[in-house]
Amino acid sequence: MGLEQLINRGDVWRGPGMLRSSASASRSTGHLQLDRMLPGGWPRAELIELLYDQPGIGELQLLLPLLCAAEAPGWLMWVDPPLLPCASTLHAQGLPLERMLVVHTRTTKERLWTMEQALKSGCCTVVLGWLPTVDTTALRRLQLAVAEGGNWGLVMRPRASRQHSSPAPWRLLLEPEEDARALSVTLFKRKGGWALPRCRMPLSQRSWREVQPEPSVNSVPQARLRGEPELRLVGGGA
Amino acid sequence: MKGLWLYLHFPLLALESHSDVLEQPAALLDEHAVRIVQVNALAQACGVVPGMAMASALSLEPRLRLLQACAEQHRSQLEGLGLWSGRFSARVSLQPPDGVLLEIASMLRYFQGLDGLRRRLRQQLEKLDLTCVTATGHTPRAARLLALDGGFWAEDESRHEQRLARVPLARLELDERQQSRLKGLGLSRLGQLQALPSRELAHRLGAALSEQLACISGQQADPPEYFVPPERFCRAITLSHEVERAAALIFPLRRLLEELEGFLHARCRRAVTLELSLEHTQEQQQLTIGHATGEQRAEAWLELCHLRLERLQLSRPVVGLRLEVHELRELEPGREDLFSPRLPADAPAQLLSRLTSRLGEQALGRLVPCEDHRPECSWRRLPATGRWPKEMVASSGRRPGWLLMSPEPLVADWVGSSIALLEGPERIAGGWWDQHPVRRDYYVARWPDGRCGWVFRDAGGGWFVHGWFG
Repeated sequence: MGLEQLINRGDVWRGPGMLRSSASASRSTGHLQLDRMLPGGWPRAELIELLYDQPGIGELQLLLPLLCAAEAPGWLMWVDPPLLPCASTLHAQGLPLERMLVVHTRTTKERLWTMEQALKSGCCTVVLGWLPTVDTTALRRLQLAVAEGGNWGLVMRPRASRQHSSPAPWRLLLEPEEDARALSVTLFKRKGGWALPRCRMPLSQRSWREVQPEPSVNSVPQARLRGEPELRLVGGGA
Repeated sequence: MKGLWLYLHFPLLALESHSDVLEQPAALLDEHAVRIVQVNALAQACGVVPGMAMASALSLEPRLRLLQACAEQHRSQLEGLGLWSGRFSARVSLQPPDGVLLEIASMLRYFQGLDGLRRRLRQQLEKLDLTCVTATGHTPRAARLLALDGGFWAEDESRHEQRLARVPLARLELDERQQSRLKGLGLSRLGQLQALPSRELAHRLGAALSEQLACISGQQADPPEYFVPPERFCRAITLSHEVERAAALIFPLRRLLEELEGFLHARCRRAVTLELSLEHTQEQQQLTIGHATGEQRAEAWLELCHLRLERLQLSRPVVGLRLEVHELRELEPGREDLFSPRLPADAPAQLLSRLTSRLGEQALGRLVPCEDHRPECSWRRLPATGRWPKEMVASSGRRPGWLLMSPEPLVADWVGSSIALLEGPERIAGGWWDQHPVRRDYYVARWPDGRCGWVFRDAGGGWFVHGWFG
């Protein structure tokens, strides 16, 4: 049997070659390095898992390019974010707030149901969901729902769930770097390839330099003053 | 008065409108509760027949469920069917006690011929779970006769005439005396009667009979009295037994929603909110079920009701249901995108309604920035649908992606040692106008593990964390 025939039979796994064809169905993460690790960006119609423990490591920076590029009628749904997304920040970053729905549920069951409905419906371009430890069946349902809806579905889970198996084809571990100027990403499960080693993604917007605190809030402000009426001496002119 | 008419005959209407008669033998008693009037198929299999006394029926089948006829309820059921038929024709006439007449000549084009109408009718009747005999006719009376005689479908007039000629005279609903006189004359089929000259017939058997024959053949006009649907939809049904599980209410509710669909169809409207009352023996419980943009289909409403009933705890058994519609909207056809590349299973409004039905109105929302420098006042919640402000306030200064609902205190000693300050201060002061004054110096801070937070020092010198740079 010739090589050509073997390949045409379709039961031979060809590794990363197959991913290139699906690159058109991806959207950039905003990081060239990460785009190379993933098939050109966040893959469409496949469940993506991001594992991290505490907010503040730059996790939203990875998602913003995807959220900002969502086409007009589709919604961006946030299911049970652990903290309040800051409206003015997201607006300034170019996120279409009028299409961003924040949903709060009471139980894990309701949360999974909401995500499943949103993913299946096909009218939410991106569905972000924060999940506690859930069983494999629940994730399998989400994976099927996202495949049916054909849009982007991302679940955020604690780092401890790395130990448990998951039906999600893409699993990323996010960890902060100590100097806070970068985020380290480990793609430890991917479709059509082995796990990739830890990789450092620089966060461009974090170019801050250390300062010392002002002695007191009541001191004469060297800082810019916001919201306070400007005092101006009036009258007494010659 | 020729045309094309469709007659729907519901022989077991009074019996089958009770929700629990499908699985067990059941019979309907007359108003004096002595004799049996209607039996379902299961009871018939046990040997129970209409006209039997109650006692002998019970001796044949002790498990027989006996139901009492109620004229008032029966009339309301027929009206419900009148509403339901609104989806097939705008001209509907109620034929008590158990028939509905529809004018369909003007509707054939819409349903793409008689076969299309028949297919559609069969689909819809299946959902209703009622025994129904259907027949077409070129006059209202002919359609009725054929339905009583077992049903008939044709468009062609001559085929109707052939079929009518074979109808036994017993179907004409004549009194005993006339029946026996016809029998004495050796007449048994309608065709034989129609062949006789009408003047002689009127002379011998009375003018009423020949008039009836003229109505059947269409020589005499016989306009039916049309049913005028009420201005508002408000329907109630009494359950034949007490229901304790909310999920069991779906079956009777389905019928109400099918009626609603017919009502909305006839009026070219969509319903936006339904008021469903669950009647208990003493009191009642009100539920409001809404759809984001309005909906007509019973299927869609049933799904929403299902979700709403799922999270409902019944405190007492339910004995009746009542459905009212308060808000109606014009139907705007062609809103759905015909050429969208992917085929989303349902419109966004459907998803939204589904989520609100299960999670409640307050669970969904959108965030909009407000003109206030205090971070806790810099946003506002808006409902998922509705107006969106034209212009939004642009933020100034560096703001984090995540905000804490309220600032959390930090140990002051950590600031400057393990928590390094990276940028600042940015002073935010305000709120002197609404009794929540703040005066804070905000900094970007780095935690030892590399997280970045938004911290501030207040006028009292205490340190707090207020957000995270996600």
